Amino acid sequence: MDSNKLLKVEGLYKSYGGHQKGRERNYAVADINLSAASGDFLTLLGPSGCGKSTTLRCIAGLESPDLGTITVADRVLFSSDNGISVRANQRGLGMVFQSYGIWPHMDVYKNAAFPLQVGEKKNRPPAKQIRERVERALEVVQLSDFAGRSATALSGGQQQRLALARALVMEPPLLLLDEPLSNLDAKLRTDMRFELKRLQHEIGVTTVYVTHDQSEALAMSTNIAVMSNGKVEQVGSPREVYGSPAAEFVARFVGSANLVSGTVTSASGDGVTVKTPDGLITASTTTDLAVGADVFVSVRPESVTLTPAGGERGEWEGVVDGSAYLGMTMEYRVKVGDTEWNVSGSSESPLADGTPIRLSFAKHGCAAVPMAAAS
Amino acid sequence: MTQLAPSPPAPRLAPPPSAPRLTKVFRGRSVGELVIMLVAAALVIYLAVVPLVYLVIGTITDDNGAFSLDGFTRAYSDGRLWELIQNTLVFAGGATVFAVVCGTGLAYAVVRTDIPGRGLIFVAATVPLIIPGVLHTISWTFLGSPRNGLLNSWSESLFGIEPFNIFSMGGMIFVDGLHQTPLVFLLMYAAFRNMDPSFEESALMAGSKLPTVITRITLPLVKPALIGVIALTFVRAIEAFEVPAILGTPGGIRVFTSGIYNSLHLFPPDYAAAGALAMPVLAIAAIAMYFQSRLNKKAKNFQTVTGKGFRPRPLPLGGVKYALAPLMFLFFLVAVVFPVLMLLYVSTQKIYKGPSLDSLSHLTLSNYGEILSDGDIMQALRNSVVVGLTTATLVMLVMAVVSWITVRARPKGSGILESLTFLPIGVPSLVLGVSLLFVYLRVPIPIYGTLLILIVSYFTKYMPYGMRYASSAMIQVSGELEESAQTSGATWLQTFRRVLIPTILPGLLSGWIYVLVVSFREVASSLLLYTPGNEVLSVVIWQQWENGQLTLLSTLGIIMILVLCFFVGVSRFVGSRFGVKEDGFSEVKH
Repeated sequence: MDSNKLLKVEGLYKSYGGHQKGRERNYAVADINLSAASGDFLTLLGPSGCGKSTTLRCIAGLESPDLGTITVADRVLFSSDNGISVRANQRGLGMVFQSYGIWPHMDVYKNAAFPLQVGEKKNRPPAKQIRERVERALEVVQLSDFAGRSATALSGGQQQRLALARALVMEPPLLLLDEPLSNLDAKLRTDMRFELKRLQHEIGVTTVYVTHDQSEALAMSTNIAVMSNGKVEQVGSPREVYGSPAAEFVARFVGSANLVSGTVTSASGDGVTVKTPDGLITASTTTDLAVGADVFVSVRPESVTLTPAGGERGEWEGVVDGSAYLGMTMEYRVKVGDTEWNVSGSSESPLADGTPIRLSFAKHGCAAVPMAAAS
Repeated sequence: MTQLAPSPPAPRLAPPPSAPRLTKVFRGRSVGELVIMLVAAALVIYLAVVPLVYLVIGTITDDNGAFSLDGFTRAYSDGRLWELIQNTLVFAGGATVFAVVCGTGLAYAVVRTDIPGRGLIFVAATVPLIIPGVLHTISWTFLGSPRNGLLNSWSESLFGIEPFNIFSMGGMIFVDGLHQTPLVFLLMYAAFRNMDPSFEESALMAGSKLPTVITRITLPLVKPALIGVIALTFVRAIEAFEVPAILGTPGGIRVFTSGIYNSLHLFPPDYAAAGALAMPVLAIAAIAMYFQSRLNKKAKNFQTVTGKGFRPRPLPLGGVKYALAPLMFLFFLVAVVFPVLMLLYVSTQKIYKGPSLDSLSHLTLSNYGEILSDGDIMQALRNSVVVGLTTATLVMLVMAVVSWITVRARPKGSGILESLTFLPIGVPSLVLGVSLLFVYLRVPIPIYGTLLILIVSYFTKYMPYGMRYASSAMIQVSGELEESAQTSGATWLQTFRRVLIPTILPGLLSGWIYVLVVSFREVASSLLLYTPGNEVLSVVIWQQWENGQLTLLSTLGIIMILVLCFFVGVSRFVGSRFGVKEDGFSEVKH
C-alpha cells in the first residue's frame, strides 16, 4: 500500500459478541483494506449492517478490532501484531455522530471548547489560545453569533454545524463523520451536503464519511468504498463506482440499475457483447471477460432510450407498465419479457401506460460484471 | 431495485489468518476506570449478598455456632404457621388489590381523561409519599378505633352505629392499601404517559366505545408495567411492618413481620427464631420477583414505549366524569386531609380526646415548645437529617457508576451485577435489620452502635430504587454524548464528571429526593439497629407510641412532615434550576 497515505487500514477484522467454540465466528467486518491520501474525502457507502459504521468506529477507537492495523499520519493507532491499541481519547481524531452528540447542559461555546479543555493538563493550550481557536472554529461553521446560546436551542442543522466545529477545533489530522446528514430534512440535507464539501475543501482536512445514501456519496467524495456484508466490494472515484461497477452488489446499490443476466458472445478491448433472453446488449467492462462467461449487465435507468414500436414483440421490445411524473423527468416501469425495467425519460412527451416500445442502450451506461465476482 | 437476476446467497466471510486474539487488557480501559468500576461492583455484592449469608447461618446455628434447627422449632412450635401464612397472604393480597385498583384508576384518569380536578388528584396521590407510614397508621387509629375513633363517634351521633374497627384485617388492608397507592399511581402514571395514544385513537376510529378501548387495548398494552407494579406492591405489603404491628397486634392478627418483631422483643432476643420467621417471607418475595421477571421477559415483544415525545390527547368521558369526580375528591379527603388534620388536631391538645366544641376551644401550641426544647429529640432530628442526606448522596453516586457499568460498558457478568442490585427489593426491612445484626454483632467491623449501621441498612434497602432512577436516566441519554467526549480527548473520569453526570442529573436528583424521603421515614430496620443516643426521628415516634404519648407524637409527626416538605421543596427548586430542561433532552435522545 502506498506509504504516503494519511490513513491506512489494513486487514481489519472485527467480531461481536461471545464466540462459541467450534462455531465459525461472525464477523461484522472482515479483511478491510482502505487508504486515504491527505485531503481526500473517502466515503464508506453501503446498506445498514454492512459494517461501514463499525469500520469508522474502529478507526475512532470506539470499537476494538480483532485483527489488523490502523495508521493515521504515520502514527500506529492499532496493531494486533504489535499489541498496540491507542485509546479513543488519545487518538486526537475529530468525529461527528449521527445524533450529533451535542451536550445539552453546555452552551454552544462550551461545547466547542470542551476538546481543548480536557485530556492531560500539559497538552491543553493556554486559555487565550483556546478562546481564539474556538472562535475561529465557530466562525468557520457560521455559528459565531450563537456562542452564548444554549445548545438545545439550536436547530438540527445548527447542532450539526456545532458538532463539526467541535470536531475541528482540535485541528485533527483526520475527520470522521458517521451519517451526519441522516437526521436532517431533505432540503437541509442538500444544503449541508454542499456546505460540508465546501468546508472540507477549505480546511483541507482528510475525511472519512459514512453514509447509506448513494447520492450523498457521489456528490461529496473523492473516493468511495462500497461495502456489503462486512467487506469492501469496490473502491474508486464516484465516476468509476457509478459508471463501471466491479460487482453485482455495487451495480445494484449505487443508482437503481437494472440487472440482466447473460453470456458473453464476443469481447473486444473495453467492451463485450452479451446475449440475454431478451436480446443482445453491448456493455463496457473493467474486468477481463472471456467468451462464454456468465455475467450480469447493469443498465442505468437514464441510459435507456424508449421509442414507440409496432405491435410485434421483437428484440428489446416491451410495454410501458406504469409511469410517474417526477418534474424534470418521467420514471417508467417497462415490462420486457418476464422482467420489469426502471427507465427514466424526458417528461416533455410522456408515454402512456400500455404503449408498446423498443429499448435502446447507450454503451457507456451498460457495465458487465462477472457473475462469480458478484460475491 | 429491480430484481432481474436472482441475488446470490449472502457470502460467508472467510476466517482471518490465525493470529492471537487481543487480550481484554487492550480493550481500551484506563486503570482508574477499572478501579472505580471494581469498587462499585464490590460494594454492591458485599451489601446485597453478605447479610443474607449471615442470616441463613445465624438461623441454623445455636449460640455456640453449632448446627441447630431450634430456631425453627421455637418459631413454629405453637402450631400457628398456617395462620401466619394465611394472614400474611390475605393482608398482602388485599392491600395489593386495593392499591393497584386505586392507583391505576387515578393514573388513568389523570393522564388520559378530561376529568375535572386532575391537578388535585396528582397532589392527592403523591403527597402521601411524604407522610411517613408510621404516622399515617397512627393517625388512622385516631380516626377508626372502635368506640372513640372520630369516624365512629360521628357515625354514632348521626346513625347510632359504630361501624369502623381499624384494628381488623379489613382495617389493615385499607390503611396499607392507602400507603401503597402513591407508588402504584406514579409507576402507572409513567406507563400511561409513555404509551403511544395512537393505539387508543385507532381503536376509537375503528368504532369502539371507551370501555372496550380500555379493556381491549389499554390494559393489554400496559400489562407488562401492571404486572411489575402488582409484584412490587405485593412484595412491599408482605414486608410491611408498621401496619401489622400497630393495627394487627392489638387484635391478635399476626403476620410474619410482626412475628419477627415480637421474637426480637423478647428478653433475651431470639435471633434464630426471628431468622426462621424471615425465611418464608424471603421465599414468598423471591417467588413473586421471579415470576415478575419471567413475565417481563415474555412481554418484551411488544414495547409500547417508542421514545417519541407524545402529547396525549385526553379522552372525553362525557357525563360520567361528573359522577367520578366526587369519588376522586373523596379519595383525596381520605388519603390526605383526614389523617393530616387529625394529627394536627391532636398535636394541639394537652391530653388526647376526640374533637368537640370544648376541645377545639382549648387549642394550645405548648406541645411544640416542649418538642423543640427537648435535646434528645432535636438530636434525633439531626441524626435523621445526617443519615438521610448521606444515604441519598452515596446511593445516587454509586448507582450512577453501577448503572454505567450495566447500561453502557456491559462487561461479562454485568447482568449478574444488575440482578444483585435489585436483590434487596425482595428483602423486607425488618429481615434486613435482623441480617445486619447477625453480620455486625459477629464481624469485627465496629459500626454497630453508630449511625453508620443505619446508613448501611438504608443504602442496601434503597439501592434498587436508586438504580432504577439512575439507569432509566442513562438509557434515555444517547451514548453518543459520551463517545463525543471520548473522541474529544476526555479521560474516563472527565467524561463521567463533565458529560455523563450532568446529562443524567435530573434523574439522579429525582432518585436523590426519593431515597432521602424514604430513608427519613424508615422504621422497621431502624428499630432493630439503633442504639441509645443514636435514635432517629422514626424511632422516637415509635417509642412515644409505645409509651402512649399521643399528643407529643402527633406534634413531632407534624414537624417531621414539615421537614420533609422543606426537603422536597428545596430539591424541586434546585432541580428546576439545574438544567432539568426535559424538552432540551428529548432532542438528543435516540
